Amino acid sequence: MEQITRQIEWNVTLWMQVFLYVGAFAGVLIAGWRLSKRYRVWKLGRSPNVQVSIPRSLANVLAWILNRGKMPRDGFASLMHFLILWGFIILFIGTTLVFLEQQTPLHFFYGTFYLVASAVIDLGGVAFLLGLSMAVYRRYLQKKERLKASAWVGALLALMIAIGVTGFLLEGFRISVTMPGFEKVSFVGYGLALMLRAGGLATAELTRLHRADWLLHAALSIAFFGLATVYFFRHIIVSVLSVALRPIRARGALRPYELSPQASPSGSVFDMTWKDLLDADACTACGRCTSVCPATTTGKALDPRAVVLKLSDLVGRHASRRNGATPSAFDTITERELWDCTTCGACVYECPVDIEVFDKIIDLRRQLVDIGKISTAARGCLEGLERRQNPWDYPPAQRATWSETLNLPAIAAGKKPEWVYWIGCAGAFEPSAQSISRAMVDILRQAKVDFVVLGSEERCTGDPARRMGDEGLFQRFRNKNLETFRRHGVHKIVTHCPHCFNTFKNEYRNGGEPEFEVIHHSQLLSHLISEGKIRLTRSAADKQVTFHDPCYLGRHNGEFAAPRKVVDSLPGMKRVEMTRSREKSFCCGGGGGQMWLESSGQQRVENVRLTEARQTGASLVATACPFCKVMLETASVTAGRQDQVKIKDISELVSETMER
Amino acid sequence: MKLAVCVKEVLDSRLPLQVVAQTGEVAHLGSERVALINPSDRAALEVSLILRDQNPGSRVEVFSACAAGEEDALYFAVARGADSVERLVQNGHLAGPPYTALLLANRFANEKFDLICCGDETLDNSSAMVGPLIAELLDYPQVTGVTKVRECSRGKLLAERSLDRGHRELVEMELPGVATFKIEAAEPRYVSVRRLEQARRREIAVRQLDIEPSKSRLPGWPGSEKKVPPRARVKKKFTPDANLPPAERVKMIMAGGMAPQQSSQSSAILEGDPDYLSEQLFRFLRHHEFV
Ligand code: SF4
Ligand code: SF4
Repeated sequence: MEQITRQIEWNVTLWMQVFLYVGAFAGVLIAGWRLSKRYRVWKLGRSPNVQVSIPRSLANVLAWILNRGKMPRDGFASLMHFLILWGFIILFIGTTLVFLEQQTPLHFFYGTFYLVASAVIDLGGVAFLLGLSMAVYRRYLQKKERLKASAWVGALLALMIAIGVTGFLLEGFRISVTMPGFEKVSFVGYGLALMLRAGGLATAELTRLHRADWLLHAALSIAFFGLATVYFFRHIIVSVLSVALRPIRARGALRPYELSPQASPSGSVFDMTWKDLLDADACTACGRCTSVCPATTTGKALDPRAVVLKLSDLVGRHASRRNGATPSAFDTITERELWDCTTCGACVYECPVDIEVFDKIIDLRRQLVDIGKISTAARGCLEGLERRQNPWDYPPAQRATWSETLNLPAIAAGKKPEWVYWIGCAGAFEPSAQSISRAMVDILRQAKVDFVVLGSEERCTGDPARRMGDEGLFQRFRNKNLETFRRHGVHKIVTHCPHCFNTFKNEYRNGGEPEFEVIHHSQLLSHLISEGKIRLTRSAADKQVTFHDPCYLGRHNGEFAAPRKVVDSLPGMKRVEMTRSREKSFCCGGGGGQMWLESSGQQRVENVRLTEARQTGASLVATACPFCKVMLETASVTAGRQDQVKIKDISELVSETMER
Repeated sequence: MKLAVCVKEVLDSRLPLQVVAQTGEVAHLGSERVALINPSDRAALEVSLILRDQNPGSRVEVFSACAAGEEDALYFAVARGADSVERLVQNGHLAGPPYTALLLANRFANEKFDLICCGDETLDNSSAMVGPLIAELLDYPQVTGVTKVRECSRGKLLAERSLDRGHRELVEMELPGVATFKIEAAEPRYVSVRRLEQARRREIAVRQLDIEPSKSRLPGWPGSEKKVPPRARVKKKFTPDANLPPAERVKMIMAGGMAPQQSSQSSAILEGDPDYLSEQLFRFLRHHEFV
């Protein structure tokens, strides 16, 4: 009986083998050398305050591979990438098996194993080519806007397709000459062989063609190895690193500013951390960040992918130069771009390789602030914050004015109430947010919650200062507020502002254990409703409501359920969702300091969001953030539509419908 | 070029202020004391720093005649990039703008500076006399209320001052000299808290100067010469007629209600592209001497 195997390196002469091994070795060497040059540049970055632990890195990568959590968000791309990646991996393993069989004493490539492996490898090849054709379709036929069809990408795609095709042909030629029956399992190769035979080619000719194709296939593969660390191919290796080294920290927490106090920032890319530089090189240029960015999609200067790629470009420029001047990020990244970001976090959520996109933007903003070159509006806001402790520049003495007639229980020595209700600057100063504070007080009293307020002892949490780039100012606020909390023994805080909530929850612990518990009012309200402490019985005028997810409640802190539960408990009202909701929610345009900055670009973010809300047909937009409320209200007023759609905080809705 | 900048710390006037009855001092109501660099001094500092960066090899030295604990303006100058800062104190207890000027002038008599920059007036005293007095005491030329520096090189300063009705004056001054600046002379840069705190760690040099006020000819302060405000004439309060077109109203306000009613020609509705509109608007403003 014939042995089920094949002669490895059939029809391959010694010099061909030498060519392959020397070439492959050189290819890997070139790729490694290129990578090492970039590695040397990464190392010039500052060291971030993260510890690298190998087990955690492995766990990160494993989790990333297993759940592929992010890919299904774009079905077609996900399938495409899956096919290319796994096709490639299978083919790579197949080639390795052949190599092991031939070059080592191991002998396993026969019998059933041979049959199964052959079939699987063919399957892998099909997947690889199918995935690549999908990529071609997307780029060149569908012309997806976010994918830039650059010449490089085209060339690299062509290279991979050529490798796949020559590989199959190789198999076809081989089988067409030897024609063993069991090779039917290599279904593609066998099919090709039959076709070649039917084409009437003589054996000698086929053997010659096989040899030529073998050389071509080898040369292309060598080229692939050599190019494995250029352009977006680089992500094949670097993205694994960026995922592995992903820092552990809450989504909503910005990382600390790690520039030493003595250093004077210059926008030098080496004032960024090595992780930032590595991240930039891990970018696949997929453009998913850009496609969801509220700044880009409303025609502003910022394009998050461009920022990442510009950084990568600077790394590259430095890598290819011996001792030139340190490249400055501000050579290519403009101030306008950096100030357009709302810190909505959509980019980070979307990025398939876990690049911390907007953290880099904020880090560069911090450098701009340290240099002092910022817009008058930003300067006014930051100076007002420093002197008057609120971003609206109101006198701090007026902080408690809104509540003068309410006779609120103030915090006092010896009193140990369960909750501190934190009003926040918006709730205290901004008229349309004051109504949220009033509604909350109303509800807390109705539900007999034991609470106090800090009154004029409140000051900004530091969220706007931090997101506008003045880290020192943020730390000052944090220290002062923590001091107030300690002095009064505060241990439970409820706030209606997701920005305050996020800052308290994620940025006040400073690496240690949290000193107090903080919840968002949506969580308290949903709890009070389910406990029966408040009952919503009076039906409201509106029949349909849509809920706008605040970025700092939803995407940054994962709270989607509680506010929806509150909305769903409103009697006689039906909730309809907007096209983009929950994790994919679109920003209101007010975060990251944008509330106080000038807006650029063709459209305003809040107008886009309001239009989207109106498209649901709902007459009421509910939200759970004073900033979102103010922004959407502004949009509705400027569009001359404030009668058509109302914007309310969930607490106002609860207070209106609650049984008294 | 050697540049000297005179600065002063003032209380933030946007926070509620009160006068403490016992001492007659001004303090913040309730909240903690919030001090800042006097806004026009900040503009003067910014102008000098820009001049320094334009003229390689230049230095900016910053001076403040103030008591210990009132050095905020000096720390700010450090954080903003001044080359050196110095606090001046005198042997006696003579206070007030004339003595501030005397102290500073004494300091500058010892060491020559090409340009001495001051804010044109402070938020608190508003005397606007320190800069001019320094110039008088040193016998230097002076230009006050500068709103823009056109050029400063080769021993000359070319500066703009703004006059009434949008008119501008271009002045040339020989150096060394004294210039006082209005707030709009430069858009000041932001100084981050990180930099400010870093600056606060710095030791500030103190220089004690002996001055004898008796020998100098100084105006009194405050109140030795009584300022008698002109008697207010009884005048009907002016409000423009709400029925007039906006342009007419603006004109009446600008002229203090004295503008004669003009014929219908004075207002018009223009339509067209922005270039055309701005051109026409500018002509209109020019014609009516708004600019
Ligand atoms: S955080 Fe939001 S606004 Fe900023 S770059 Fe990312 S997607 Fe754009
Ligand atoms: S940063 Fe992430 S999402 Fe954006 S282009 Fe790069 S890989 Fe894609």
